[in-house]
Amino acid sequence: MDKGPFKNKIFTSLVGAVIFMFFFSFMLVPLYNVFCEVTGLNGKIYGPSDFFKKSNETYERQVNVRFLSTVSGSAPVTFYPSSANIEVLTDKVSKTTYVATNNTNKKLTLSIVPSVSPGLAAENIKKIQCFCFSEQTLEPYETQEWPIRFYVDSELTDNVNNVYLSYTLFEKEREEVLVANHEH
Amino acid sequence: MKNKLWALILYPVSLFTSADWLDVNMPVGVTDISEEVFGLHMAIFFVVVAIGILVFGFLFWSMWKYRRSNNKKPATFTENHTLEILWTIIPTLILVAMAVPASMTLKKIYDHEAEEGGIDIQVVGWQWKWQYKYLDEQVGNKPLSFFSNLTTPADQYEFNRVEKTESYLLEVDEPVVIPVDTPVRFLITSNDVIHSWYMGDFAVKQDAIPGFINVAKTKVNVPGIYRGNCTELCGERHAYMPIVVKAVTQQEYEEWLQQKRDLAEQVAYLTEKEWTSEELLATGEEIYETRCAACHQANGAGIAGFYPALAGSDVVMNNKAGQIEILMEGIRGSQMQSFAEQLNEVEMASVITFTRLSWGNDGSGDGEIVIPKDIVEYKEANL
Amino acid sequence: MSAVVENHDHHDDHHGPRKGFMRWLTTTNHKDIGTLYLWFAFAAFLLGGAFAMGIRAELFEPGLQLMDPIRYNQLVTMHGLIMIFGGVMPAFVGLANWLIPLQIGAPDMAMPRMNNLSFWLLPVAFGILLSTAFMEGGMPGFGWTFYAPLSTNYPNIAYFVFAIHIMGASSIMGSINVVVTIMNMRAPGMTLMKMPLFVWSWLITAYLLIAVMPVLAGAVTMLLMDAYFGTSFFDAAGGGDPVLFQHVFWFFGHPEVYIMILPAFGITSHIISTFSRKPLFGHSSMVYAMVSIAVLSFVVWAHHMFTVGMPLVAELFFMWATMLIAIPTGVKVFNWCATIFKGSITYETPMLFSIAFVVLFTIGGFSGLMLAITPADFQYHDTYFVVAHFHYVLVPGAVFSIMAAVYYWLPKWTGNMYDERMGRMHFWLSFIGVNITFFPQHFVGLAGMPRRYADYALQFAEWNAVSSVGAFLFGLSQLLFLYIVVKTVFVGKKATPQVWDGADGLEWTVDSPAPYHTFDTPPKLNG
Repeated sequence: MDKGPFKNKIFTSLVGAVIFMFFFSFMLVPLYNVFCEVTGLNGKIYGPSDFFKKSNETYERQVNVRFLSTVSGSAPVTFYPSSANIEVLTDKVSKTTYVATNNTNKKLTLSIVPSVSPGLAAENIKKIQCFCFSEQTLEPYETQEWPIRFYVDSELTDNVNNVYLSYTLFEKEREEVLVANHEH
Repeated sequence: MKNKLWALILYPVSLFTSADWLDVNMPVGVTDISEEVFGLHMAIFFVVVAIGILVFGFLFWSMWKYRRSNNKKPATFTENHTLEILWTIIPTLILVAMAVPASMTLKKIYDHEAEEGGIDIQVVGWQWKWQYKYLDEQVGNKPLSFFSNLTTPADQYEFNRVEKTESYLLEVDEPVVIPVDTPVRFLITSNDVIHSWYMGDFAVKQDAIPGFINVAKTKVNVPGIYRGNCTELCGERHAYMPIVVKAVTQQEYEEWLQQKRDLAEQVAYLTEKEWTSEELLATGEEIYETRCAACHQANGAGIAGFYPALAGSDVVMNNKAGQIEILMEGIRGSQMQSFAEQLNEVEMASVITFTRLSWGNDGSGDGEIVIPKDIVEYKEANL
Repeated sequence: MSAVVENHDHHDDHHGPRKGFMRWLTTTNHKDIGTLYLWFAFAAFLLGGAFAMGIRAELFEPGLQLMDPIRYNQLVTMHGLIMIFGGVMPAFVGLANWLIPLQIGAPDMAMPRMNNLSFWLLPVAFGILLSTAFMEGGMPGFGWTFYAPLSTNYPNIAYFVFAIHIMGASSIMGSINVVVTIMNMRAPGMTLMKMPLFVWSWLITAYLLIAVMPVLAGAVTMLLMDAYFGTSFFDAAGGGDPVLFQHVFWFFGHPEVYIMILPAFGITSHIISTFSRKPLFGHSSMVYAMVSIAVLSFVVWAHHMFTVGMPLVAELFFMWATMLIAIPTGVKVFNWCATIFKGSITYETPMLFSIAFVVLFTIGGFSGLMLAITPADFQYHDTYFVVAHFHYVLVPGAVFSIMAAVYYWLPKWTGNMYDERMGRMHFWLSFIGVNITFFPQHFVGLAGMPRRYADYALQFAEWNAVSSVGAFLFGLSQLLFLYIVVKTVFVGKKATPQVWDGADGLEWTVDSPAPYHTFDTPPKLNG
């Protein structure tokens, strides 16, 4: 007995729920990033910041910023901070560099990813200039010194006096390069 | 077959002659935090045991008392509001009572600033070993850094060829040395996949995630040797990358640091001296066993489809420069890492020489050895 | 009501099902499909069990005696995948298919053709997954939780992803079918609160499946894209985050474990009430408890991730939320005990399995509560303490309830009583085996033995040997179960429609074996 095409509100809404939940899992990606930025989860920090004084009522204190480096996978790069740590005053811009040396006769394209510990400090470290914002290239055997300009804003939680800023270097591409003459 | 069956039953029984089987509980550990954690563990354990005794006791008693032969007429009640409210509220109160000390301990664990001073050690998980960098100790322009590899030989773990020693699977070539009574911060990350750094005696466990750092702090109260494991599946040799921490007095710590600094200088001297093939072979064999044999196998045959054979390999036999390049740069997209940061010139030259002279490679190939100076030249040529 | 009616709609059905293989391939009958699911699940249980035997054989002694760690990791991974997606879940779906229409007085499921498709997708999916055994690179070896980035670069991952997608589609379609059936096809007068608890448990489970299986699909799709299409969802090098994978996976993964236990709760309520000859204590609070457990299951996922480095606030929240789940679960356990209290109890095989379920699942719940205490979890996480916990809730938990259900309803399905003496023997061997296997795993876990280890330090040797002996005992006993079930299909004392003295419910009003078509006209409910 044919009752016509299958129409059932519950069925339709369930199928809709399935489709929604599939896309929800993809929505988790930007949602997660927003959540991380707001809470400092996992020590993620993003993008450059402008430097401007928020109010005249900041009080200065000293914070010790320690720099770490990690080379990921088999990236044939020697990568380390030029200063192991700096004592900074909150709201004052400081500068330091990281040194990277390409140990091969190939051209390397690299991406460098920052991470902050404790995670809560992530939103208080503002980077004005950082080599981590874009990919970097190293010619064969080249050494470069990459600058970071940053400040720690005074809204940093009171009981945090030591902040660790870590960079992990990833190799994205390794290209054979014809080197005509290599001078020692 | 019958004998095997008895062995199956008697073997576990026979094992109970040692005291190890009494290790049925978590270690109390040697830090203030580990003692608190142990306390929480025992507390929640006693709570659940008490609940279990009450509930199961009641259940088993009911099962016996109201068995059909003893009670022909079942009751018919299906509700008892007082009881239902009580057995919802009382467990809630018990849980709140547990949550309070648990939250306080957790807060303490997360309070990295509780104590001044201390040392920072960066911990990097690799497939399949740990690297440690002492951030307060600079050697040249980089922190003092070394790798910590498992030293249990394959003969012990493969097919029981040789009897196992007491620290089977828990021994490394370079332990982490820290001073007691000093706050130590471990800054944990990974070189490749997710690993996890676990020291039961410190109640420290944090995942090592590539691209991110996690911090774990500890302060050890009792000098001693402590052993831990990698606790996140990281591939084939997940069970073969243990952690050994030696907690020593401040003075012994300073002495060890000095030793390490001296060693760095010594390598420079060692690189210059004249090496014989025998000396290179001896050092090379040791290194091969700890760093290479896991994948390339003790007989150099590799594992088909996964790890190439070194025995009879064209590169190893005939291409000195090519082999040095592979060890220095790694092979991108494969499991072969760059060993430039993991082996110094002496170690690298020794292990390359070892592969070139073993398994008949010297007969079939050019038979040349590689000396530490060759590695230095390679590095200088590429600056 | 727009229930779909079978093709041949006669008032008295004299022609039964087709003969031979085509019957099983094209059936749209809920009883046939239930049977297919149950046999598929049994086969998967034995295959997954064989892998477990391999694992325990290797772990019998420290050292590598039988296999290299690559193979070991593959056995561990496939054991988990097969037991979860091939064993427990299809078994519960098979029970749902057989029992839901009977228990609500409906002639079949709402969408019988989709029902057939849901089943047949499973052998295809498992064929794809198992075919990796014959490929270079072999079977997946990254754990059933397939964390990135270990899984991203693993060989043959495309087959794994494809298989999961197909299994997921099967589950989703089955769940939609269940919800539509329950909401539309109950006999007149059967309000939701009058519905039997097994049906309730499946209604809730189906909603959970609909909500989270698509998230699993999303997670494996993202993994596939990272592996083959150059995206960086989980790759820090490209701005992604490996921890994101864990959040997405466990958002699916935690409700998944409740999906694997809620139907067990329903089954247990039926069996305990029947053999105590007493109505279930607290019927409505049992329903509310299951609903609360299901709702809470969405907000506790990160308790699987306490060591990844989440901020303090998050760890506290997940600790408290996880501890909360103990309360509705406790209510259920107390209600079962109160049902037994002052009953008139006999201990046939289904009752033995159900009581063992209550006791041993509760023990698993206790270790779960211990795991919820975050600072303590820093010691337990990724050790055998966790392995002991989840095996207690899954084996003497979910699996025992499935066995209980099989013994309980087998006379209704086949028309024959199973051999009670052999059933009891199977129970005692399984009970003893399961405890010898998994109880010592608490000890080695506390002492520090990590999980997914092909080899271990010497101080863990004794208890591992004991655990392995228990595992061989438990494994062998399941062959007895196979024999009992097969035998009952063919011979046994004839069963009455009522079968069990204290049993209540519409399925006990039809003949044993149940006729091919039942409730073509809706039954009249009394009271």
